[in-house]
Amino acid sequence: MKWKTRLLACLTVFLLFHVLTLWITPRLIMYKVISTLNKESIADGKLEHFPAISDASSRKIVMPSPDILYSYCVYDLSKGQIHITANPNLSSYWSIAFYADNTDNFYTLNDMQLRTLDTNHPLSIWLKKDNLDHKLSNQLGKNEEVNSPSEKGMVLMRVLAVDYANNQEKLDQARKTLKCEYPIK
Amino acid sequence: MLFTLATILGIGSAWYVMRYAQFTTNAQQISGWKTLSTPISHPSETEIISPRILYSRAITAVRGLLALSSEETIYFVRYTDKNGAELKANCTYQINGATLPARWWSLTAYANDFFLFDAPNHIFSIDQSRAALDELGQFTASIGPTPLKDTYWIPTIGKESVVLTLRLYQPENDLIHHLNDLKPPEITPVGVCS
Repeated sequence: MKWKTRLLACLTVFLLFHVLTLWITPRLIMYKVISTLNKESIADGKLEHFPAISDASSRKIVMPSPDILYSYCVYDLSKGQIHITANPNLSSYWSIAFYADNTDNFYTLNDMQLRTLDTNHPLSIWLKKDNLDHKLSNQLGKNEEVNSPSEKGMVLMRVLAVDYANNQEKLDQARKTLKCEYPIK
Repeated sequence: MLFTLATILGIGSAWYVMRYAQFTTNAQQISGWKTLSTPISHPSETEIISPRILYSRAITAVRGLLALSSEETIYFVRYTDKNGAELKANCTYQINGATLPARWWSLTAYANDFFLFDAPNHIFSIDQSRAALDELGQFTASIGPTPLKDTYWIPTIGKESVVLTLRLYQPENDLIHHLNDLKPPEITPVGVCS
């Protein structure tokens, strides 16, 4: 009887640590990414980052796409809501995606969605933390309020970089329209 | 002693699944390509604690951090050629395929650490803008240490394993609902490995 109890206890410990590792790993990875980028923001004195197009030296985040130009900022809603704006004005693909501190992509808007709703208005999103109401505003990308499931997270803008060598100036200008600002109270 | 072993096995097995296992709880396999299943954007209360969300979130964090949700982009990964042999950086492969039903698609070669190879020609991928279609609507490219004649070449370096990723940005609605209808590119080994 004793060995059965022991076996059951071992199995419980095995399952507990298996699930715990699966649960904690995404959060630890995202914590590291957010901490690293926060340090960069403090060093640069600005929230937005515009890394060079990906190549073999791009080793911060796995599976970087060599065909996409990225812009990003990290946020901390304990400082208050954050205002995200962008106006790439491109006919090719671009999107802006929001990631919680457990790595979930909880919201995404792309150029097609904005184009079909209005006449190319600049994107304006107010990101806030609100546990009571997770419903999104109906005003897609137009002073839209988006609820973040976590206090900390990341905003990542993707701009398709086809024929980058010949379109570098235009594409860089487009992705640098991303702004992340905490309004002055 | 037994509890320590159970702890190590619990952590080790989770890490193995996240890093190496070629399956996920909700991955689909289509002609050797497996979907990288990202967690759904707004899980319900019951889904939050489901094994499907737990595994897909952990695997995506390790192998495809900051991937988009599957409503926006479908990701496929593959580790083997069409004969089922592991893809190696010192072997040459021919890629054959047709254009794919998405607003934009690309196929990228990664080393086994999921980062890009140090390609001498700075080419890491082929996408729909660079895939030259023939009269039958097919394209051909090559991946490996040396190019195949008259093909678009994605170089690989060393002798390690290769991971291919196929991204379909804004996939057509029909594809989202009938993923098995997709005809993804075929990866055929050519000649002997160097």
